Amino acid sequence: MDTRTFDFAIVLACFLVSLLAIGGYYYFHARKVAKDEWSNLLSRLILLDRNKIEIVALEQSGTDLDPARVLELIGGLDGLKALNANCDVLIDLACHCQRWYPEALLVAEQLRINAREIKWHLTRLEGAARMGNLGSAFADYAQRVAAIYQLMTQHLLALYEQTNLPELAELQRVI
Amino acid sequence: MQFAGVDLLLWAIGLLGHVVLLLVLCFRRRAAHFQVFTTLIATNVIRTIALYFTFRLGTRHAYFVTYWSLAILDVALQLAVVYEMASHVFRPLGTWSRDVHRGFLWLIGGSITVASLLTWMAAPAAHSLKEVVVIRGSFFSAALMSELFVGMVAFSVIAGLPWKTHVARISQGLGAYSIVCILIEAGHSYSIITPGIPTYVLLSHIRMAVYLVCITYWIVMLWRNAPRPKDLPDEMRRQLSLLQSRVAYDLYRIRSWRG
Repeated sequence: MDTRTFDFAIVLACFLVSLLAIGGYYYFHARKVAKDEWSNLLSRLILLDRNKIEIVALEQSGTDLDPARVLELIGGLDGLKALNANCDVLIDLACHCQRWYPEALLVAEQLRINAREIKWHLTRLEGAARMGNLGSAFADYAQRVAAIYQLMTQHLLALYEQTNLPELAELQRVI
Repeated sequence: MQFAGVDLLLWAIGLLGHVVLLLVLCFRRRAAHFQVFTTLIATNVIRTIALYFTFRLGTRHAYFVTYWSLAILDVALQLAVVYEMASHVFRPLGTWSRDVHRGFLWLIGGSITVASLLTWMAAPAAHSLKEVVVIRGSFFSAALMSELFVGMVAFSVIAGLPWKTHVARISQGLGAYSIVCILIEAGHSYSIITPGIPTYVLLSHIRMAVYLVCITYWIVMLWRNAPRPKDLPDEMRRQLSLLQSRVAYDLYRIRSWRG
């Protein structure tokens, strides 16, 4: 076996292992989410202080909030990451509803798009943190994230009210 | 030219499998949802018959030209099937979601780049430019298809978009077959292309056998119905419509904050 053939064999093996690892990881992740029970989804929610989030979300519409105050209310980057994780759970909960009533697709899609937007804001915030510019960036983005999260929560509750699912009371209690 | 025993058996089973799958697609009313996939299977029925008669009645050159012309058509249709599956997954509301469109284009660009690099690295043991093109082309298409299917699975999970039952089954079959084909085509690259050489023929038989397993999987999975959704009462449908109006207004507010 010459050098080029050997190199090709190594690269091909790495490529196939990567392909199978990536495919396997996401395939089984998707299966797990699809089969998750309601209680398992709820157990993934991270407890947040909704009152503080509402303060940020309500005040963001016009007034200039002090970045330090926003940072404190949301709990810094860790708080935003918790919001992000909860957004994933909210989407999974919406999908749970969608499995029973496909007509809920429209609302679930809007929730998904909102969650993706939060991830985009988080990415910008993390970039600002790396550049040492978190203070000013936080006021710009964190308020929007909190506001979107609040809207998502309202949408989800409304969705469950519309579809009369028995889990509504449990959902209201947690989020 | 005449078929040998194993070749004739694989040809007959392949034709039968494609015909049964086509019947399943038509009689179970999947064809309307998967028009490109149905076209691919119908084309394969015609292709199998055309190649049989070309092999028996035509010259070696005529068979070569027919085989690779139809192989190019097959790859083009497989890429169209990828697009059809992507449309089912990434266009939940009938149009491309604005957050996935760019990512999907990156997936296509990245897959083509990686497949090209791998193909460039291969050094086929071929005698002529024609053989090099055939072997490299087969390897490139196998690598590209497998990347696209794995990438679609990963991207759909990242984007939070679910796969419907039959879309997932068609994609799993084609994706798994493409991954096996990478190994087969890599093996072809380093075996002598002359028909009759055991390694080359053995690899071709393995590929055909894997494809037959894939066809059987599709027949079974497409025969079965997807889990039946529940119907929404009219009152609930009206309420959901109102809810959507509210969501649209919320999104308008969110967009205004960006300004």
